[in-house]
Amino acid sequence: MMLYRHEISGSFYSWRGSAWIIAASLIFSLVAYLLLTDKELSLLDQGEMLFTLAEVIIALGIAMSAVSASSAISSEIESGTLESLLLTPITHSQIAIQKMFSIVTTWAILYLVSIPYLIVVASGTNLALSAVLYVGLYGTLLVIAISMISIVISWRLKSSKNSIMITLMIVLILLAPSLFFGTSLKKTDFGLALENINPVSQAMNSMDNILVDNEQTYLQQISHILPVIAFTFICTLIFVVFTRKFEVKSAE
Amino acid sequence: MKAALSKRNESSVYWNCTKVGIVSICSLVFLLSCAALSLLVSAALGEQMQPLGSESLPPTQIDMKIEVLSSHTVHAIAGQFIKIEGIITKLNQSNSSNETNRGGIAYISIVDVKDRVPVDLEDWSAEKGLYIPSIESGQSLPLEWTVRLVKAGSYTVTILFNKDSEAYSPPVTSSKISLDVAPKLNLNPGNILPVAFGVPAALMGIFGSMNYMRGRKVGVYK
Repeated sequence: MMLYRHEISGSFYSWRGSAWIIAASLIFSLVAYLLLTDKELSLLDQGEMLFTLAEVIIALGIAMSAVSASSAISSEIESGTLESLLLTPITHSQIAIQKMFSIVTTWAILYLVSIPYLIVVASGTNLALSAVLYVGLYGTLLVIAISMISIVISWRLKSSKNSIMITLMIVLILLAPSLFFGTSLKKTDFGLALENINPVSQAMNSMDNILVDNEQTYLQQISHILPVIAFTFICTLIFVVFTRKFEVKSAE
Repeated sequence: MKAALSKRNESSVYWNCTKVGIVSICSLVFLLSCAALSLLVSAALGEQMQPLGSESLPPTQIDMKIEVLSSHTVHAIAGQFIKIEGIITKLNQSNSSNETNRGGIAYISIVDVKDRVPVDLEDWSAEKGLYIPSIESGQSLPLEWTVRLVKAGSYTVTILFNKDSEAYSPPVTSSKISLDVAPKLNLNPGNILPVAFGVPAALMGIFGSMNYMRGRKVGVYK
């Protein structure tokens, strides 16, 4: 786990790395503060407030992990350090896996930071535990999946600029139905089809059911959990197949 | 001689101008009188048409009745859900024997009493209208709406029904429900301020100390 430790220390012993987490906590603070102090927003039902905060946490986690992972291999290629990395006594798959674990650790820290906000916004309701558990479940599954896909893209494109752009596009497409589509568009055949095949929409709809409609048991949410697990499984397969061997070639 | 000629020319020009002026004024008077005549004729025809129009006024829907089952005065807090319940009945006294038993759309109307404006029900109710395909004479159907009280204020709620068969007839209305919505503010319920300021400050402290300790270890800070 040498590489993992190196990645983690690189992320958290420098201001540049830890700025992510501080910026995310400031965003959570702003959202929670507005929800609970703005006169118009504070008229919202507490379940809806919690759902909004959960959406922000998951979306931010996905975006952060996608950006970090999309430069994981390409930055090594661009800085010419991949060769020395390949000389260490670890397999190519292990390099990719340790990179992925370091990104999931960043998500884990972000998730831990978000817990006080979830508890404060849920105070006075019976939703705090469900909010914490389900944000953890969906956030972790989606972050693992997106990180894997982003690492594969980073390896295949060998250019940080291109891989970040492509990954951000994928993330935006995945987040679009939940964050940008209006209710009427969601109800059309196109909207419904898109939501059914989109794992992020499944996660968000499940959070909506749990926090707004109070359907908190796993059995009630199994129809949403399974597609997210399937998406993570498919991403794992792609990750395993494409990260077996890294070639030592610089970007052309 | 020249002076006589110029004087004659001046007088002919004067007469020509006067003729043109007279002709113009006469034309204008003629046009105005024509316009006034046509207006008078149309007004007279309009007066004659009015009784015809009043004869074809749509009949009121006296054969339908909507009763409100829920309380006529509702006091609630913003954010709560309330149920508006009513019952629509088609009375037996329908005098038009050949009339079909076609239904219509029952819907609710909420009016903000203070602002004197109707409320856009977008956020208030998921189902604004209830379609009733048909209703038999003597039949009663229950009507129910779940309304989310979005904004504090004083409102009146009315249930209305528009028949499919009578396109120009006025809707059947229920009696009004008076709705008083008190504001509910979730302001700072769990004391958000300590968390909103405390968590970023704590993170900055933790990461700052980690960075400083690491810097001292490797000799960046002395």
